[in-house]
Amino acid sequence: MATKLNRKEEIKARLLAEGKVEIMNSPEAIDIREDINDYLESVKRDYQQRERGSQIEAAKFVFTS
Amino acid sequence: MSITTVFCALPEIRDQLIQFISGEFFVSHHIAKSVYDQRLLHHFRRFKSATHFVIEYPYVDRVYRDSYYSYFSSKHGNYRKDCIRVSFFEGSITPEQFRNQDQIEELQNRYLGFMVLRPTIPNIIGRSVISPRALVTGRFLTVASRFQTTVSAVKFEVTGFPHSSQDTETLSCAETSVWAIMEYFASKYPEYKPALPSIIINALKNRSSFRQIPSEGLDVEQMGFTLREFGFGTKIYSRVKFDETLTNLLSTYVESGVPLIAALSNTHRGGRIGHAVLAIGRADTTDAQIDQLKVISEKDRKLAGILSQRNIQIVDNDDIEREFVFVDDNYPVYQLAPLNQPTRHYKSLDWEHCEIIHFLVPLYPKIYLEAFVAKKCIKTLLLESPFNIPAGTELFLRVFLTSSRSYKDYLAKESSFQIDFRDFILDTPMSKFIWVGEISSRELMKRKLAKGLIIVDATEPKLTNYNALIVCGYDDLFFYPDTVNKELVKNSLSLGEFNIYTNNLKGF
Repeated sequence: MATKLNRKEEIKARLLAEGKVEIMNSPEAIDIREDINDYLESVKRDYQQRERGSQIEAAKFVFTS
Repeated sequence: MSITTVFCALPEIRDQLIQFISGEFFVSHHIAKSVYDQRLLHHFRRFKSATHFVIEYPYVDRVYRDSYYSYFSSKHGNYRKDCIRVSFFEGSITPEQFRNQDQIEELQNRYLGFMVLRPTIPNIIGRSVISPRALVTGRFLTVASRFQTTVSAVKFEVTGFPHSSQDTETLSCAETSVWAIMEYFASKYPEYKPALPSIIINALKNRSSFRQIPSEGLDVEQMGFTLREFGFGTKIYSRVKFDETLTNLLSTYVESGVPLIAALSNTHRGGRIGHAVLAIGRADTTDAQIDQLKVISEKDRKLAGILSQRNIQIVDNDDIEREFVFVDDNYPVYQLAPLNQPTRHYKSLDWEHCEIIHFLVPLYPKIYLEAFVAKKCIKTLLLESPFNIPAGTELFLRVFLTSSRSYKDYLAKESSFQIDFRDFILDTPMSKFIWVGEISSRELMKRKLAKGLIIVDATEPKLTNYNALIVCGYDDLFFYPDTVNKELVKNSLSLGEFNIYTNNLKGF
């Protein structure tokens, strides 16, 4: 007989039934999310500048040994 | 024409090889002796004393034959086209064992690799794959792949990392590094092909304004271009732009089992060296190193502010002062040196004060999230998620890249995980590659244990709204972004302690 498994959905349902689940949509949680968004956008911009600068530096370096 | 095969032990190898080099490469006995003593001795004295050797001539080596037909044969001088091959075994061997089916299986367990000697006097060390088991050097962890070859007509397989010295004409350090990277990836993944010297030269044909051979060396940009042509999504990191995070990021990629090319130089300190080596692994981590690991003050203002506000400290596995494993074509394979002294093994003053100036990472092309951003993403998720981290806590963070296939395989077999958390992750669809942050403490890490985990999609560079987050958990909470309403979902579940992931380098 075939056995169908989806443990993830079972675990989610059980935790929900036990009152152990919370959707993080409170104003505080949304503020934190926005804060993380802003920060990670700035990290990406910082990385892009460093990476482009690395490419320019690399063009000057010759392996000789 | 026939194949000559010699079986010998370590004390006999010098005389045997001098005879072969002199006789088959047509050089005087004096030159052959000098080649052995200056070019081969430091390789052979690293072998364990019980190592035995099989020397075979003639051997057709595909890498040297490619250099021969594309370059050496075009010279007026008389260059030989055949090579000598030396194979290594643990313990004594006899010719009869290679003709006995029962004993061949036992020989396979004792096979330790091979080294090809090219007739390119004096730079004669060609394609080699040597098992770390063959050497007397201390224990270290390294990426490795399986290579098939034959000895005395019998097929054998060795696990190691490819190495070759430069012939200085078709292969300089830059080409040798690209060759070794391609040899490794081609033996491991069907997406890649080995790159013979002429293929590397051809790949750069349209990017070179000047004669390409004899090689005058490449620049870093050309190496990046070549790797991209060979199918990688190459990333570059330069010291002047990444400052003190350069070696930390290099360590992250090594921890991820990604071999990378490091550019060493002392020109900024008045020297004249510009050299390429591969970084392929690191020494084992000791308890003392974990104890001595310093808390590096966070340079990122945002993260530093949160750490200070919450009174939390983070120590980073990638800041441990360890030795790393380098493949340097001027030295025998698997050289151990710290990242701040990568040329420590050089005796010449010319090599003093060399530093890692750049490094190139041959990433799988669909890994769109690289280490610098991934680590900051993991740190901010750790610090901004409402985990119960008491004030005054010091966290040990270990970040690495891996394939979700390997990670799930480890997870499926790992009984130390909280069973629901494990099954939850196993049933979550994932990208081909993931960034994993393991959260632990110094004491737990000494026992190779963690109590928290952050998994991020390595194919997702768009990081807003928890887009790249797959799951994160620490202590008694875990979070995941709901796929339907895109909200973050918090779950209460005690995760306990679990064994860290060690598949990338086969150890910690």
